[in-house]
Amino acid sequence: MSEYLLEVRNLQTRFELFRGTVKAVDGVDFTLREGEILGLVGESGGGKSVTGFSLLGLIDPPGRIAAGEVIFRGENLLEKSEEEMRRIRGKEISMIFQDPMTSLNPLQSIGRQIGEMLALHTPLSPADRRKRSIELLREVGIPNPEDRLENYPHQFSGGMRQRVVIAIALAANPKLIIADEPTTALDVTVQAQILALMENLVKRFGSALILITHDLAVVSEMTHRVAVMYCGRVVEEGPTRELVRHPFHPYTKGLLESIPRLSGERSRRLPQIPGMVPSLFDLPPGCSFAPRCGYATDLCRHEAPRMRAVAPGRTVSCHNPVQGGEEAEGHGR
Amino acid sequence: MAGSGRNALLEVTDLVQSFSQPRGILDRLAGRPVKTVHAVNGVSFDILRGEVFSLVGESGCGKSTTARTVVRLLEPKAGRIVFDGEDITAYSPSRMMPVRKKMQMIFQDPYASLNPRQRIKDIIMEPMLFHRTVSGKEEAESRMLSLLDIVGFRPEQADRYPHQFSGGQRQRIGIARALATNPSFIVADEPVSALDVSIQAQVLNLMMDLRDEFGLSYLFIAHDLSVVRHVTERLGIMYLGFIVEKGDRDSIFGRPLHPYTEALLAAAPTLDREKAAAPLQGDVPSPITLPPGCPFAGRCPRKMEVCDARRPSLLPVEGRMVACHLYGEE
Repeated sequence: MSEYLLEVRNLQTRFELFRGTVKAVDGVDFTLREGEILGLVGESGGGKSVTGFSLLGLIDPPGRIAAGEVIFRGENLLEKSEEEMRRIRGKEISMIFQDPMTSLNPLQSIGRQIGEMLALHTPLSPADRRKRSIELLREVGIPNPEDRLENYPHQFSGGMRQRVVIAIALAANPKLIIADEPTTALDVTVQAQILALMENLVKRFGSALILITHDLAVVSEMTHRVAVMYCGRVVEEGPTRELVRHPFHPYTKGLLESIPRLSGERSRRLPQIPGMVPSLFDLPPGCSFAPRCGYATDLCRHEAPRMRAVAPGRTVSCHNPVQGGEEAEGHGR
Repeated sequence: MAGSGRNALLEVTDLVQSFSQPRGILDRLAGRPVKTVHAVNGVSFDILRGEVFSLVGESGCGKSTTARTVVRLLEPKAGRIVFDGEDITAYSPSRMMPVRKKMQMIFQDPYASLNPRQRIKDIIMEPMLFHRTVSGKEEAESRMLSLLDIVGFRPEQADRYPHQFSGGQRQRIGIARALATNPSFIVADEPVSALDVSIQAQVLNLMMDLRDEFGLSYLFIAHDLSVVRHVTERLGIMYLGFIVEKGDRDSIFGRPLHPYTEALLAAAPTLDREKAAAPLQGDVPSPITLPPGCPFAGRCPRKMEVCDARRPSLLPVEGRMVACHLYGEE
């Protein structure tokens, strides 16, 4: 087995629509080690959620995974049958979604929903399943877990519901958890609770985590490494601290600078990235970011850049990376 | 702090807002009492001309309800609202009409706040024609085009419909509509929280440019503290319908005094910090039965005995107002 828990190579997911083909994920590569937390970050339409769904083979027509490999513990998931995938989902890889209200069944008690996961993926007896469910609820910080087992999702607050979802995701002790905007629907104090909880559990259970989010600040506090996506491609990847301090890709730099800060100098205007994300039906030739990029040259407008290493552990897909990964500056530091 | 001596455009004093929860037929048959949600519990603040004042807090803290009551979309249950020297607290809808054109709103969701069946030009011209701030269709049209130009659209885009624009563009259309009647006061309720980061910066910059250009005052409602720090001069932090701390930006962000403000700032994720502090425990209590003491007592890491017994009042401490027994001199 390789040194990686997960290796994604040249992943391509397309949606064949009446208006044309959308390359939602267009040649994505990344790797993940055991116990590692990777952030997939970008704005809407970047392809980060579709990447997450593709890993689990959860792409419905008109979408399809057109090419690539998803090597998980040495086996290519894209070659597995639906039957085999069903045994992997939840047991080996589980997923946490943004909205805890829609990911829980409103008509079943949460005890039953956790129990179902355990029944599917573990050999536990009904009595042991109940015991384990109580343990899991205690693990995710739900008070009086014995009594709460009989409760229904609407009897929990948003933060508590997300804790239940996390308990279900952890039930079968998966090797990998994919969390798609897990705290976006929550208030900041509750978000802080949930992020701290996820970080602790991942550490204790030894799982790896892919955190999909638009929030660079969350990524910078939570993850070990980060991959920045734009228009279906990873444009930059590297260790989180270094990438946040010294971005190489002009898009990463622009994103970082456009976030207002909580401390330090405060400039009157925020640096902004001009224009907007192009339509995926009508991507510009060459680099997708070129029309919004202050560093773009003729080469960028004609030829799409390839991913290349620029520093140890750092890769970037750009013809004119920001020189020496200069400090994301402009305001706020 | 509150400045009747200063040139306040809006003065809100002891504002109260509550809602009765509808009872189902079973509740009525069983004779269960009507439950009241205490959304806003005696909130006071003022906004100077050309100033940005923000109300910050988590969902359910009453910040949006306060804003809606201030512009009289909701009837206040008690308190006083003085706008531009007029006491509008008890104005009838028809007396509110001339005031309305001076106070406009920008909403959170640019998808829900624009009529999908109206062209952009009609969306922007409607308020001018309704409030008769223009002499006729012709003047409306030329003003509409200049507004579109101000918020960054070309004249030929005026004939398009909202669905032909992205979220950030729609929010700019919402801003143009709010400016249509030449208001002096704009309530912006989470204007950028539905937008992507790079677009958020564009909209915030536009809003600040407009303030300088037209001398607008904003009541800015937001949950994102870093956005608030960027735009605001003064702010109030709300919890369970109460303002717990109020003052100017630099004192509050520089040294928060109320334990809730402190927790809120510590919980906000930032790029500049390695790890967040230990998160605040628990959830916001129900606004149906307010705690008799401090609204924050149940979650407060520095709770004392007095906090459960008596509600602290908003008192001046270190150049701002704080409602906390830690700082009260009794």
